[in-house]
Amino acid sequence: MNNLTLSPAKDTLSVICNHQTGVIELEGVSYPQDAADFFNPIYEWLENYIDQVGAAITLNLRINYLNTSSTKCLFDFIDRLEEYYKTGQEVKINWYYEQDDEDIKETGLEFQEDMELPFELLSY
Amino acid sequence: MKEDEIEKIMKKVFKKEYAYLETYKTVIEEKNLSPTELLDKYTQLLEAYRMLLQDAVKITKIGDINQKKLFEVNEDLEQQKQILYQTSITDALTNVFNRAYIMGVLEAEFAKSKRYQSTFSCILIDIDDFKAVNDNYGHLVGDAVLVKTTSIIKKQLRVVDSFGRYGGEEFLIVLPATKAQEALLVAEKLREKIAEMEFIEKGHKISISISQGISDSLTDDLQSQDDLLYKVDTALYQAKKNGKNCSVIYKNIE
Repeated sequence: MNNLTLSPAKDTLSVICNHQTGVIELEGVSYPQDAADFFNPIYEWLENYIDQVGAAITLNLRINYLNTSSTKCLFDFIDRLEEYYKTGQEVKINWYYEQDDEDIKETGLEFQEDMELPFELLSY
Repeated sequence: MKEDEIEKIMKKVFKKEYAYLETYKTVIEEKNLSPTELLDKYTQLLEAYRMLLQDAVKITKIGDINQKKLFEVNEDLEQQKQILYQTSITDALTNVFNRAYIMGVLEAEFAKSKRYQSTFSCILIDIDDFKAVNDNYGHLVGDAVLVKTTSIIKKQLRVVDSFGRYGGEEFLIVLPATKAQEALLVAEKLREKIAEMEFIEKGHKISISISQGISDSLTDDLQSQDDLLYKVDTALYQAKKNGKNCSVIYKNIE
């Protein structure tokens, strides 16, 4: 299985999915015209990782802006991680936000709500 | 983007939810389901609906947060744009218009006067013996004198007049709807105000004076604003020749 790296564009996140460490890093802004198209390779990588590696996963999120479609896609991605967590796997999510950025902190809190898997908000 | 393209994208974004729709719409068509099977399907559908509602609420809240953030960023950008614009047209030391801006005002006023046959005037001001101020008291004191001089001049002008730094210790005033003779009255008032001011800078008492060249646009020989600048410059030169601390109208030079 391969690692997945997507360089950030004006309207898309930087993505690094490492199958050796099980760490997924999503960073930046996301407002592409077709959010589903952008998130598809990340979903696919996750499915392959679950099938072929089946080990712990850490999702690190450093988000500055998400449009509504991207929010929905990220929700679906996290839902899949939660399903994986419910099978007894170790999964955790770290939501990083700049200390003064109340909006991103609030967004993180919305994602965290009703979540069963460990979801931590970390300021920097 | 076209409507059908947007719909195609939305179908991909809501793939899971569209799949639910396909699965559960068959329940109505299946006539032979037992009450237990029906209850089972109903429970599944209810759970799917609960999840969807939960996501919809969260997405709406996050959408609102992001929208607020966008508006705040936009407001901030607007403010920065204003600051940048003000900085780009202002002389950093004296806080009056810079050369580029005052030349733009002159160009626009010249075009207006040609188009509407209107009259405007220009006053070119030079601080007399300013080099001596710098040489005797240093550049910091020289800068302070420039700031005070411009502040006095600014207070005497009308809102419609434009005042900018033309170069070192030279300043240009553009006075719309003003003939040279009227501009002379303004210039003389400025000259008197400056002459009676005593600048005290870092313990030094400094008196200064200004010389001024004046011209209006009421002549046929003006091809461009540069011709008018030539005239005020020549008048200013004459004012210096006349012994400084005075104002000269170009058309009065013999």
